[in-house]
Amino acid sequence: MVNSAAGFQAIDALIIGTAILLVITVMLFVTALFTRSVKMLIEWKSNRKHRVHTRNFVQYITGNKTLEQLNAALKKNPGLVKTYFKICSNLQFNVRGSEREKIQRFLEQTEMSNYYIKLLRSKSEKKIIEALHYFKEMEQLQSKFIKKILPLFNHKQPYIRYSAATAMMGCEKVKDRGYALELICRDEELTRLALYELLYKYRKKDKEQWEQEGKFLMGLLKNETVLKKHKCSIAIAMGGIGYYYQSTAMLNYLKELPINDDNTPLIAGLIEGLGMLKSPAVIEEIEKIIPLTNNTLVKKACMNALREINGKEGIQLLFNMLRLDNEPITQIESAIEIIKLDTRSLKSISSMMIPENANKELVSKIESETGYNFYLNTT
Amino acid sequence: MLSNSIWIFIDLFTYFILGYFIIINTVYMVLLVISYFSIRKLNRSRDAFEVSGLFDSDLHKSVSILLPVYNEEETVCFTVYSLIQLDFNNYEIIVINDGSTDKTFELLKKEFDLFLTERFIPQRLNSKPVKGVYASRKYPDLIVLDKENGKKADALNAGANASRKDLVCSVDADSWLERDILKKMLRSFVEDENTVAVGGVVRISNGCVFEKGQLKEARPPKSFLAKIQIVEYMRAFLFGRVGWSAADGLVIISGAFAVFDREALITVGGYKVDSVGEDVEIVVYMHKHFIDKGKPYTIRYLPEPVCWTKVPEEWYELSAQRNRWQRGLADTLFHQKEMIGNPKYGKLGMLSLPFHFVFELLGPIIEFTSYVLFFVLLITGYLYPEFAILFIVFAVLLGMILSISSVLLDELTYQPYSRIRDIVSLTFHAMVENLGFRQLHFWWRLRGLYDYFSNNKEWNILTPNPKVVNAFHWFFFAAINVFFASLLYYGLTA
Repeated sequence: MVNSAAGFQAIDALIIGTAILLVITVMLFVTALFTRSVKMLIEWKSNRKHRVHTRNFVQYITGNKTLEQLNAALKKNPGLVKTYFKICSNLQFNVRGSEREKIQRFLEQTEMSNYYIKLLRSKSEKKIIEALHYFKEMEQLQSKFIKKILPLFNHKQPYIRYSAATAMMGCEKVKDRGYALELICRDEELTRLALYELLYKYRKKDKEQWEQEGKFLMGLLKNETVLKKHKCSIAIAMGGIGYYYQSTAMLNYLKELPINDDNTPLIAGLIEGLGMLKSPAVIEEIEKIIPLTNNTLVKKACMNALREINGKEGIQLLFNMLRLDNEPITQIESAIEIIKLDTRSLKSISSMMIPENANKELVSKIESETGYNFYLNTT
Repeated sequence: MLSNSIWIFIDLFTYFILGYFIIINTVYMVLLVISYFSIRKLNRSRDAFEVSGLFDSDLHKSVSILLPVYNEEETVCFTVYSLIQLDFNNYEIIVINDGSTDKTFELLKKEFDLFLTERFIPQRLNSKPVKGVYASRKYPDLIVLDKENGKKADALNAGANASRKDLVCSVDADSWLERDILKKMLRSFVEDENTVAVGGVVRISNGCVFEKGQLKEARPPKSFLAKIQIVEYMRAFLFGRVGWSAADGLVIISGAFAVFDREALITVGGYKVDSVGEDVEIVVYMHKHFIDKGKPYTIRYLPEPVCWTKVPEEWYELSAQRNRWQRGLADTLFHQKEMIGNPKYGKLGMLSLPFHFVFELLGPIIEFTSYVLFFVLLITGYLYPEFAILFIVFAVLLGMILSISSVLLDELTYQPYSRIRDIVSLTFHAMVENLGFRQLHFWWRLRGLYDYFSNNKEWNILTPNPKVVNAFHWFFFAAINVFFASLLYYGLTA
């Protein structure tokens, strides 16, 4: 192949190529070591700085230093903002009462907030996220900060929009938190679990706010601008988080809703939510709804709710669905929900599912429709 | 003299080999760059998608951890204890004793105070019969299925049948999981509703220091072979899988740790029970199923260090493992051959699967042929020795660059090893990996292909003479290095 002039050129090219690769190999080796050494040095310096300023901050918490003294230090050296924020974040988990209040007061200082407001305006996503972390640490987000955060709800990255909403969940007023929820619930890219997380943060420890929070959520369920899939999640979360005061309102709304494809996600959500609230009144409504719909989502929600409530009537209804419903999926799901209730129902379900039994037809139907081999497999 | 037609053939084949060499290295380089940016982006979104409250409620997805065990008496209790300590509030552990013939089941029974219980197991996926379902008096969320021996895939199917949670997470018996692993993995489901499967980075636990079931310090092992595998794993996980995942072409989620949506797993029919590469099979089949049905889905790979596993430290065990992996890949690719080069399957069908077919599956054959051709041409004088030496050095250096880059990528991201000497040692092994080990690796893969076509479906084809096999490998390894050294010496003196 190389017994030619082209061959010699190839050798020359290979010599150059090999030399370049050799240099790159050595450079990568040196870079690996250099990166680690630099990181270790930075870490060492940052730890030292952290130690010194943690001492100062603890002195402030214990009353040996004033807020003004810390502020003066920040004014003198704005680079300390990040260090102090890190110290605050670490300490917040371990303190309560007046000590926690002191930390919050420190976080609200102009030196701190100005630094992070500036970061919020940055084009770097990393810096925006860093700034939002600061606002998330605040227990009471002031309105001047809310104005700065709101434009981020239009950011192109879904995780920034979510992060902004999370920061807004620190607002003191239900109205402000609710407004953030309303905005984010128009977001197509928001996932169900992310919304649950936001709703979990939306609920404050202060019990006096719960009723108002619940009413606002009911308002969101009726709000036309909120996406339907999110309405379903809100209704489920109302049950999961435990807005018990709203169970009657939820049930009434369920009764009001016409059963059609458009309302299906919300109906399913309300039923599941009411099931989680263990509201026995929903059983009656489920009985009415089941014959009127063929929607699997709604039926699944009904069965979930019946299992959650775990009452005599509910279980009976589950068995009826298993025996009488024409949909194999419903039969399987109802069987699974009964199985989840375990020991009490195990014998009954076994007798229905063992192929030798009279319900052979049902079992074979389920098997043929779904491809599942659904027989009892316990000793 | 060789006839004209043979010359034309040799010329064409040489160009084919050169093309192969250029494409494989270019793809690896591109994957490296994609991975770097993908990891940076994932880190950013990870910081933003901070999830805390959800895990205190019942609204998040619940998880069943499936731990198939077969003759694992040495590690099973340690692994179960590590799973019990996970930081998550709604999960169950299902240990599946796959007909162990040692004391695995007795040990479990005694250690966790097991008792026979009634639990209905719908047979939604194919698996060998379950002889008994046991619950633990000590840990209510632990159950043990005692079943007839199938294979790992069969055991996982039995576990998925018994699961009553939203997600199933398969774990190897010799793996150790980080405490917050489930929270980390669940974030994928928070970020993307259509997620059906998630994998994470698997690290090597040989050499690590554990205390009370927790990882105290991550250290590279002393064994030469295990250290080489650390570099290999870094390359495979940090830029191989992360890169393919970012390019929507992920075909493998490690069997050592993988999370699946239970319904999605059941819908696709679970694991293929006679497969020796169940981890590749299930992922490729999930792609196929959801694309065929036109349903949106996401299969993700998170570049987070989440699972630590033991790797073989002996040549004979390692060769058997790699042989099995190759057979698993072959099985899957031949089984799903209609997906390869099929535009219907997008980047997966047009890029990832053809790449895996040509370079990962047939690569050993092409490499072997190219070595043979290389030596024939060299010995018959049709190739200048200078060219041969330079080409080998060039190829080896390229391999070294890729391996060191993965060490560097690790440095820029997670740095599990804290000491500088560990980095020096790993970088050194990243270089050495290309001298001897790589050649042996392609030999094992070639054997794997041969065994696949011989229809050998054994899990691990272990030799009856491990000592002889080990000695042979050391000899072969030394011989390759002597050969490289001689070539280099010749090149330098010439």
